Amino acid sequence: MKTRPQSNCLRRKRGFSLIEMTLAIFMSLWVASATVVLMKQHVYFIKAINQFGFLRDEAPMINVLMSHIIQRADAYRIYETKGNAMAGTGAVNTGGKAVWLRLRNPDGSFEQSIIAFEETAGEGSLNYYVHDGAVWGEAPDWTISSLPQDVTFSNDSGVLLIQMTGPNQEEITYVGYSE
Amino acid sequence: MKVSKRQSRRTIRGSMIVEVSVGFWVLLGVAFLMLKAAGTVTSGQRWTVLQSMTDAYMTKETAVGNRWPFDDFKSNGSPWPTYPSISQQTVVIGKLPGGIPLSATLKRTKYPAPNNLSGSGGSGTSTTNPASTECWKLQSLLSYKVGTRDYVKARTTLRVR
Repeated sequence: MKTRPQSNCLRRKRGFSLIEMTLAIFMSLWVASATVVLMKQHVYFIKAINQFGFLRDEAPMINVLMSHIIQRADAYRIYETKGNAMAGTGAVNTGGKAVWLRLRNPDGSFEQSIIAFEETAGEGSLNYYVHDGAVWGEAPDWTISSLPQDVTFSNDSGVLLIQMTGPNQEEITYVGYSE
Repeated sequence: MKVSKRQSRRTIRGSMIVEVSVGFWVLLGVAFLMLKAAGTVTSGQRWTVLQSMTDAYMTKETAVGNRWPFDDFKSNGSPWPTYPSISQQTVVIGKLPGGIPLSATLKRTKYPAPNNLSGSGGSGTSTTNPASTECWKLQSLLSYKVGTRDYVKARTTLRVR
């Protein structure tokens, strides 16, 4: 039987040297750490974009809805709570959490509604209540948004101001146009 | 050209370092591009948010300009002094995520219509203005910065009586 020379056989079977292995592991770690950094950067980027979500998407949408409602009103009053607004007692100029609106119908009759910021189990929501002609409903007729952490109504500057605070302590103030 | 066995094996074994290095630099390139893209998107988003906030603030200026009593904005302590006097103040127009206040400079001034009577800043007479109509232009200018660029937003309110 013919065999290859021993030296040749040894050369072929020889694995990587310690230095080669060290270098390979080091470089793999290098690439892996770079990938981790890249991932972290991407996560941070997504987080930064999401943080602006309230100011970018939600707040303008709330403003559009509120403007449409408030512009229809021919009178408004600000109250500290929804309860006060429903009872019609204790109107304030600043720091209000509810605004009562009087809306005139085309036939000359009136309707009443309330926009109120309420907190239930630590979760805030901006709700809309409509008076059915006899009583106020227990539950809101609809929720304008559940994202704001705080909404304050005031009219100490002569115009109705609606200050909204978002989930990341961002703040924006809109103006209601009703007289 | 004839390549010896040893030379050939060296080339194959050494290629690993080249491959990993290329991989690393490609990764670095991707990271750089992503960083640039992130910067572009966030700065665009910041621009949009600031436009929205300054627009909201200027809506308030228009509303206050329409609402302010005529005699009050004509008085000495008026928030809109008569041009060339200009009032200037730093205002907080809102807060960014994290509760970071966003400041801007608000300048206000007002101009009388040329046909106002002399007592109302104009040069009109009872002949040119027999009804003593009085007209004022209230102007508010908001200056703010986005990145390295300066922006100015203006709103004008016309008041007539």
